[in-house]
Amino acid sequence: MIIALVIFFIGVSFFFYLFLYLPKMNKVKKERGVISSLNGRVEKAIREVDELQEKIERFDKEEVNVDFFKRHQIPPERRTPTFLEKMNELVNRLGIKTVMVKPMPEEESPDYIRYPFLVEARSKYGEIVKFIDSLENSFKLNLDDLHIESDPKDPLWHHLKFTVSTFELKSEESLPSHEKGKVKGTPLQMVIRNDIKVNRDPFLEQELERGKRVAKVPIREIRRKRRPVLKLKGIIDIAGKKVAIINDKIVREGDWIVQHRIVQIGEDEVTTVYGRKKRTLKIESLLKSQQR
Amino acid sequence: MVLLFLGISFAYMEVLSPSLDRRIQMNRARKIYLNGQLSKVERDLEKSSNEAKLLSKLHIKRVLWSRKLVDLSRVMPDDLWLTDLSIKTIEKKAKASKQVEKETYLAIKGVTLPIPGREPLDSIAQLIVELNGSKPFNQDFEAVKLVYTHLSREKVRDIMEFELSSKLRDSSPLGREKASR
Repeated sequence: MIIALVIFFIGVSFFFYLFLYLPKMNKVKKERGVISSLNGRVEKAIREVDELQEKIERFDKEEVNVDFFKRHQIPPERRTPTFLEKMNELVNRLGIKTVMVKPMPEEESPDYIRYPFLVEARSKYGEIVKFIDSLENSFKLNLDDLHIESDPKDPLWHHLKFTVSTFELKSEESLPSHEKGKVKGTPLQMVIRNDIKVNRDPFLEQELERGKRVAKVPIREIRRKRRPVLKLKGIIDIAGKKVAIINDKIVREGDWIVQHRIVQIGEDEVTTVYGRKKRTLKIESLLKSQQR
Repeated sequence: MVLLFLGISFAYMEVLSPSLDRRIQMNRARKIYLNGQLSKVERDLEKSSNEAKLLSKLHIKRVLWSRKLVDLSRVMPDDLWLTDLSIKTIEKKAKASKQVEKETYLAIKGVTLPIPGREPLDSIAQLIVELNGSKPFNQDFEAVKLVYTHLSREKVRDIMEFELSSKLRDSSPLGREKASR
């Protein structure tokens, strides 16, 4: 009887375990598996979002300059006038001559609108660098198609041409993370860095930069080449007075020959004055023999 | 036997089954919550990913010039000066596909004077080396190449004109970071 009861107990318990408890337990385990997989997916997605946000913040730090007008709360109808006013203020402070500021057609893409302005100006190199620095780092705008050209007529002033633009993102939510949640726009402050020093103007010949027209070595060569050629062929004593034969012409002291005044005729040399400089001519045959 | 059967049934119905049902319900609720969270995070991920892609695209396009111009004045050899600095975009047809690719180049034109004891080509070579070693330049541009040199006469002196060229890097900002390190 006891054995029968034990067998019955075990049988019933086994029945309950096998057909009621085990299926439910399996269901719980399966759900647990699904939950842990979901947990993993959520954690992975959160990590990825965090990484992307870090990347976006890094972009912000590196100054990817988008939403110039939105950042400064400039409404669409004030965009061009505000840009022109600020550009005018900047060029006046730097003493740059503006040749042209021209709003170019907007470029629209699915994610953003690009507002380009063509700028042409004339300036010295140091001011060009400060001007560009202010646009890039103070206004936080993008510069494209840069062209600097030297002017041969006025070597100190260079011709500068570039396109300055801002990218306005279409989605409000995709503002840079540090701008999110801001109700008011940041004030548009213009900073001109006077600590920017350039070693030299790379568009200017260094001798010109030092106040000279041409380089030292070539100018000597040029003057030597420009100096009229005088060839002393010989000196003759006629009745106690010496005459010289220069370029096949007979000259006396006080005479002029190709812009040279003859000041003294010696035994074997003639002293002339060319401009303010004294020049001594030696007899050619003597020169040749000395050279040998 | 009947009592035993009822006892075991009661134990199962009252103790084990409700506990398992509670766990199942909790798990279902957690699953619904996690599914909601997952779809929200995935939306955030997509938005952040799009934003990062766009910023990355704009970042690649951006070349900062002020530091380059300051460095240019530092690396210029004394006997050399520039006449023109410009950015040129050339359209090239890709060999494999018929798509037109745009390549952007920095073109530097200049002049050098022959000075006794120093070849004009030495100064140009020095400028190329200096530009290739300049961090602000090689962050955005590939190695500088010589396009041509031309000896000519200007008024009363000989001058050597030259042109250098360098392609704008198309690497990602991370690639640029690695290059700058």
